[in-house]
Amino acid sequence: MGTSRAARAPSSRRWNTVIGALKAPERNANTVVNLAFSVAVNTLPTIIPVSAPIAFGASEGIRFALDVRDKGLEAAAKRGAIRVAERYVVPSISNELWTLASSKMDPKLSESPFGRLAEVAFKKTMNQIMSKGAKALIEQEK
Amino acid sequence: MTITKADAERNLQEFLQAHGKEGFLSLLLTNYLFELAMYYLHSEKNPAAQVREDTGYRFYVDGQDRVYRPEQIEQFKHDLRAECEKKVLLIIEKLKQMELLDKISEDLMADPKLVELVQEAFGSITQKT
Repeated sequence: MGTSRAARAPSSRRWNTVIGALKAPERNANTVVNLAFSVAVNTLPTIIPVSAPIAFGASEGIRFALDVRDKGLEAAAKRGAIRVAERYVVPSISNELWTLASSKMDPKLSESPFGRLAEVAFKKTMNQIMSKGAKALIEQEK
Repeated sequence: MTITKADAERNLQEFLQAHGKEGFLSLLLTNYLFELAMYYLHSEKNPAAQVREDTGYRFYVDGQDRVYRPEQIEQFKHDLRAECEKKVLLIIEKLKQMELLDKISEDLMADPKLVELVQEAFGSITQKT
């Protein structure tokens, strides 16, 4: 699933190399990703660390998963004060867990572009795991 | 098909049993890096008249100004995702070296030192894969 958010491109001449890689007759994902991350991460302002919002999500998600493994879903949800909607079990849990994770962040972080991207990735991950089980990772690798 | 609480519980347990915390992190970070790559690759830089020099335009239109077919775009996204997955392996390896993988379920972001280490591990995404 992709997005079409209109970010400002990094203000570096090196970004032209990414455009060049996209225009190449046989465009290569390896080259594009290597160049894009290298230029973007080294050029964009780093007031908000790219790792921060997803690290909060990782902690919350893994803690919940371990709780479910050890005590069951009811107890894990109760511990995190997570309200589970009977008709929308999976999205309601994902949503509540992200709310919990973002409540521990500075709002500047959760409302930043990286925060929004982390939210999408987090909810998608939780939805995939709770809907597909072990296959969630195997399907990704195909 | 509606997923019940029992299904969600079973699926979570099955996932953890098969892939562990590392598998969880791998899926989460791959999803994140993919979103990040799509975000960067849909960026704008130029005024409307020069839009053809934007990555957001070139993602869908080739160097000969032909629009990519939907299946070509989907294949490219699939390939980008696979590349993101390679970078995640580097991040996880770094987190392991820093002995942070086991601490991931703790409130590690409350410790500024650990925040720096996590960011340092993320720096691996700028390495060539």
